[in-house]
Amino acid sequence: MRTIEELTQAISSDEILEVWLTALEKLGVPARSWRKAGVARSIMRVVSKSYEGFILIMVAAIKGGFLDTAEGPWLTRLAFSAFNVVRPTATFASGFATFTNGGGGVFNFNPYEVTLLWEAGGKAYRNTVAFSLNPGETKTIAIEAIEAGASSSAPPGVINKLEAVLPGVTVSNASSVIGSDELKDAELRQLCRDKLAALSLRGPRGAYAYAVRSALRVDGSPVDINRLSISPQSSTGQVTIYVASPSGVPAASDLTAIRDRIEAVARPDSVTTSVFASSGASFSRTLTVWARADVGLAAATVKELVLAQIVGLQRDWPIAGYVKPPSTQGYLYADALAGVARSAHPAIFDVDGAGADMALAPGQIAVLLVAVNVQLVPVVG
Amino acid sequence: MSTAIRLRDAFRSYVPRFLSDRPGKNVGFRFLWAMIAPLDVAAQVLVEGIQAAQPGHGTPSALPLIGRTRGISRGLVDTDAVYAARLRLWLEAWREAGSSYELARQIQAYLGTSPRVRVITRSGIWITLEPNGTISKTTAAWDWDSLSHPARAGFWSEIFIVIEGALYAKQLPWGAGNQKWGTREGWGHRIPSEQGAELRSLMQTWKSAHSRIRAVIWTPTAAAHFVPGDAPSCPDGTWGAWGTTGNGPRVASNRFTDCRYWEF
Repeated sequence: MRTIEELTQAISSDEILEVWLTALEKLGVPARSWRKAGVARSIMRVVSKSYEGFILIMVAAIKGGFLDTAEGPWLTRLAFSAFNVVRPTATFASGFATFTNGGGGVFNFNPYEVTLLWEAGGKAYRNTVAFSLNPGETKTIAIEAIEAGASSSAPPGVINKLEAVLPGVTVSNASSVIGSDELKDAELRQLCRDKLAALSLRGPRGAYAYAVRSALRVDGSPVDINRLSISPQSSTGQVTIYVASPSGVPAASDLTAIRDRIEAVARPDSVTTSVFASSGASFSRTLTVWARADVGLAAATVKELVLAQIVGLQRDWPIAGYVKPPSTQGYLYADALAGVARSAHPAIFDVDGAGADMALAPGQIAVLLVAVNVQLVPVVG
Repeated sequence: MSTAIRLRDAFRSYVPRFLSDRPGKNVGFRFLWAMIAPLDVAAQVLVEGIQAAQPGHGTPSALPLIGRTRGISRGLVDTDAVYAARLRLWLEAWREAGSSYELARQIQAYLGTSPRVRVITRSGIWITLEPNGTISKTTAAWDWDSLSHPARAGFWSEIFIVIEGALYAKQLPWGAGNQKWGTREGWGHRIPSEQGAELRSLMQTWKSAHSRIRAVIWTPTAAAHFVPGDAPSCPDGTWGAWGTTGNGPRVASNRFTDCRYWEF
């Protein structure tokens, strides 16, 4: 019986070809002496390439039997078949836009007939319901992005142009238009693990995690939560949960959806649960980033890359921070800040100004207020 | 299980005559044979690969991956067969997650030596998992700290875990045996640090979120401590802290000194 490492080992077309050549020689066929571009060797080369592709699929299928190694569609299949978890797909960003007719025209539109633009973001949206617009009239209409995913999410006020000009008609979005990406593999794996605990009616911690991660809004889209913290224990039957969105404080409506979901799948009788939005703890620093002055590398580019890394750090740093036992105090570590800044570009060789670690209380998330100064240093010698 | 059909033999029945295995004229046949033979290997790999995800049927080397998939930790002395059997019961185990029953089962399974494990609530409900796997529920007095910490009287969701058997020795004096406390072993209790961490993590996973493990008590079997209904073998209300409490009237603890205590 082969080991799992052997079963999940891909084989290249060269290795397959070598197996064939060896087998043919054992059978008394001098295949190695055949001309490499000849008919037989060419057939072998083509077929070995096909075998290589088939074996890659086979390996992916075998890996697809395990949560840690399954990927992409194989993980989607495993999640559904073994855990009854459906991978949430990307949603079309949706929200509302307000149309104001300041001209004299009378307009009637069918669903998906009017295209609105967020020019700076390069995104387009359409009305999802039919509506009419008479002179002097203002109407707020449901809209939806043409392109699925979080990249079509738009902040308030930016959707303010119509693709086809309607004389005297202006448009704007007073509130955000929000969409979400398909759940990533790592998040889906965690959702599956949490789902196991949700099989129980006794309220293990995983059941609460599953409730938070699987909560849906009224429109069926998932809540925008990427971090959660569940109290480890209670002497009086309390469970306290803090949640945070990638941007920090989650929407109040998301908290409502989470509370409802906890009631549905996690909370046993006689237990009291409390769900709170995380609060921010400011971490203000001025970083000096030292980088080689490589040809064509601008300080502004380095700064942009560093800031992007810092945004990622803030988005993913857990509620209440990481703890180094035996201490029970969580922190945002200054080394982590310096580390992500340094990893932003290979030319960066040092980062100053990260300062001291910052303690985070239960329910707190780090809000990074970081200014970046880039110093490009010519390399001598 | 192996693939039933050997493709490298089966193709003999459908090759045209000029490619068949004719004496002295079979280069074409051998060429085909060499190309088809790896398919038999691939088919066998595929079968074994599918079986690998089935505990007890496939390769034992996949058990760690199945364990991670099914959320079941391997016990310290689990054989492949025993671990595979536990992995097959994953859904039953998870349906009971958060209960005292399952918490006791997971602890016993992890330790591997089948110690008696009791999970006791502050209100005196005793769940006892015997070494032979039978489980029972009893109601009997349990007074951990009514005298030393009367303020805890309302802490209804606290539980206590009693593990019988001298599974780990008491810690040696400081520096004895070239061993410093708190390095590779616990303080006061010679459990390897990684096992201590795994056990704590396991307890955290399998207990209910709303409960607190006030203490894990490791007791020698021969001492016959912690017998339901037998007051002298149970806490007497002074056990809230080792030694004396710092506030109010100081009450000396009467904890059994031959036991080890984990407190979180």
